[in-house]
Amino acid sequence: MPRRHPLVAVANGDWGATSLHAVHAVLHSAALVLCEAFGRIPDALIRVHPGSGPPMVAWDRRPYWIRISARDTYWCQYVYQFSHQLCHVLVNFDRIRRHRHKWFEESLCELASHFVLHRLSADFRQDPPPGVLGARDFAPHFRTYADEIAKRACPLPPGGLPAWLRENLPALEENPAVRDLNLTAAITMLDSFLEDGSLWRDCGSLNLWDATLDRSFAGHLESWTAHIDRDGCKARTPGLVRRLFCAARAEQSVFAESKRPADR
Amino acid sequence: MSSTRESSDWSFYGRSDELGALLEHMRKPQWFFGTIRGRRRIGKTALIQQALETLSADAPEHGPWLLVEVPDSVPADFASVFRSALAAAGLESQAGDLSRVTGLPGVADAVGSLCRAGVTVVLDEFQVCRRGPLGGFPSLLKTRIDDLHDRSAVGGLILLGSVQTEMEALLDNRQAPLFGRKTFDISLGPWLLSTVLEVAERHGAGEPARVLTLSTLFGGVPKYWRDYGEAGGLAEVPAWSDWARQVCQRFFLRVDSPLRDEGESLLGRELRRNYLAVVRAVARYGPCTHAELRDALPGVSLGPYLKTLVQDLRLLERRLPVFATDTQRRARYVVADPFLLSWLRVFQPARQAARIMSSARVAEGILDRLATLEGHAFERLVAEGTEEASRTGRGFTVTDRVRGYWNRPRRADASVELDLVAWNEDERVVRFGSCKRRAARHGRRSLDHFRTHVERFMSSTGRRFRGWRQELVLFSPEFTDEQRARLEVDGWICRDLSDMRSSLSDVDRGARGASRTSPKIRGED
Repeated sequence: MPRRHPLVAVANGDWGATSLHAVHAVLHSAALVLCEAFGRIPDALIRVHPGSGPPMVAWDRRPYWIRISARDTYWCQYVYQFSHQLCHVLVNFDRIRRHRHKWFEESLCELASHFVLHRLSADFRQDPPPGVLGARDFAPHFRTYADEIAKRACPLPPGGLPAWLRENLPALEENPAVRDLNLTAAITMLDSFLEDGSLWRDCGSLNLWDATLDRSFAGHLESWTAHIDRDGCKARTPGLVRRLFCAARAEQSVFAESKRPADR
Repeated sequence: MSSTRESSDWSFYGRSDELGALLEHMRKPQWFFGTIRGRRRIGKTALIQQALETLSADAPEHGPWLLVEVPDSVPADFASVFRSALAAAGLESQAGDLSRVTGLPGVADAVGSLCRAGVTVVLDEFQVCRRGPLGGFPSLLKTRIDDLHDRSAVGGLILLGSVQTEMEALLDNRQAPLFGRKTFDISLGPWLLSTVLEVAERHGAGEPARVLTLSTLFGGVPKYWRDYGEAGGLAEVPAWSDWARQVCQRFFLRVDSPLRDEGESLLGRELRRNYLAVVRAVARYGPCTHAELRDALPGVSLGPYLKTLVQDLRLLERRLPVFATDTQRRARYVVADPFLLSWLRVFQPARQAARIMSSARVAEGILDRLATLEGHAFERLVAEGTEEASRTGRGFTVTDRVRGYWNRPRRADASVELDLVAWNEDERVVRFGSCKRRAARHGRRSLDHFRTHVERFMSSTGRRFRGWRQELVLFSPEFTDEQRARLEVDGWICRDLSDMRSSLSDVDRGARGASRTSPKIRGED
């Protein structure tokens, strides 16, 4: 993975009882995991700021401007919040700001948090970053933290994920960031991504076409596939998402063209 | 107890907000001038030591630092102390012409030279420069500070002070030479309840009864907890009464006790003449009203003393019941510092007794007096814990300060006494609390009493809460499952220290990673 510039810079601010050096070591480790999975690094430096509001990444800022509320040495929370925001960057979040399928991006970003936590649980054990005191001993906590959050995912209805999506799609299209629902969607994809991290590569193509024209989620997955194929690659992740979220019979109803007018 | 410090498993606890703020200022690529205020033993120096240790990871090239305790003496002595500190730190070459450091101008010049060379200079006990022979020093410092503000990109000056009012006079008074110049100002208070609980747990005193006793004795003052943490052997004492006796003996009564003279030392710095008598009376009778104090100290004109002790020295606290205005005469006075209260009320008389009796026998008699203090201390813990949990969004959210309520009725059957009144304006919930040092005291009679007082409150001052949801909460250090079940079946909410620990814990933030503690704090340097 060629690097033209540093990946992450930690801005001075109130990070609590920790050094910037340690914060940088943790965030850099998380960034490496995700960038390696995506097979690319962001087009500009990621500058991370501390703050008390909800974690966020700002629109149209280069270097990218990310705020997280983690502080002190709560490394799991740093990784969880930062990975989510970095994923937004890697899926080109500010190329197209609003469309009805943004819930899927939010769910992917939630998935990214879990993915990185799981990976760092192994990485810190095998190759602990020198800037983080006690990194090797800390490694198992990443996994525990991810597992604790995963437990909060809503149980699926009898019809499984397709039925769940049928039930919740209107709410998700209305508000892409319904954390409980994003979490449920993320957890259903987690095992596949942990098994094959290269599934993230396809996600780097999201938001690169006019998704406001995709009038259903099925249409969105088709556009995604077409966009990847057009670049001469073989799309795999859209198919996986289709298989997970849609039973053959239910496909028509879940993925039928929505009656809502296309978002702008 | 050994007086020489050895390496220990003591760490830097709590203070995340203060450390984060201090680090943010110190990392900026510009000269800084800050102040850190707080009572003696509160951890001002430890905060700086930890900041410098943390900073060394970010910028190994960060300059050296120099700590000088300003002596309460004459300029020549101050200059001599300053030169000695320079020599001990190996910084003489960066202080300019040392032969000129013989008085206040020479010290001020040396401070300027050191800062320009990238040194962080820390002047401890700076409040002694308020008056007397060192009174001219702030003006001399002002000139150097203005110069450094304009020209220096490195180094810094931090003033530490333990007497709040003196520091305010030196820095916040418009006429003061250093007014309006500081780039940060950090005020250190006692540890938060979450930190107290963490430290108690980590140093073998996590059992609720022991947390309460140590909080009663030490408040949230780090140095006293450190003395406990380094004492060794106490965690293994099985019964609370034996343990408490040993704590009293080892920390206050024996010839080698570390806190034996601490109370007198604290008071000696602050108080003269009748002030001490007033503080002692408040310790003995408090929480007490002005009228009660007048009865206790006939012939003493209380007003000016109370004003100074409350407003200037902050040794006493004037508490008002919830919704009372400042001019109402229902105020109660208490000793603001828990350590000072226990020292005055329990240990000062006990130490006098120990002159003619064995310390073991004296410790026997202490426990009863301590029990009364623990009742008041528990109310304080509950109020502090409620506010902290609310602040961190992990407990009952309050929209105003948590306070108690009492009145002064003409008829005894109209009296109201509530340990805790807290409310959430947005959700229209009001919470009333009754605090008992032993859960068994929440008996039928006490519960009826509590309910009656809530009803009286609601039909008078509390009318504004009509239509709101009411929560009646019983607080004790520890409830057994059986006690909890019996009370909760009747609709009471039970909260003990274990519940508070849970509501204050960082469980949703995951595990906390290790951080490097300054060798000076660990006692290795």
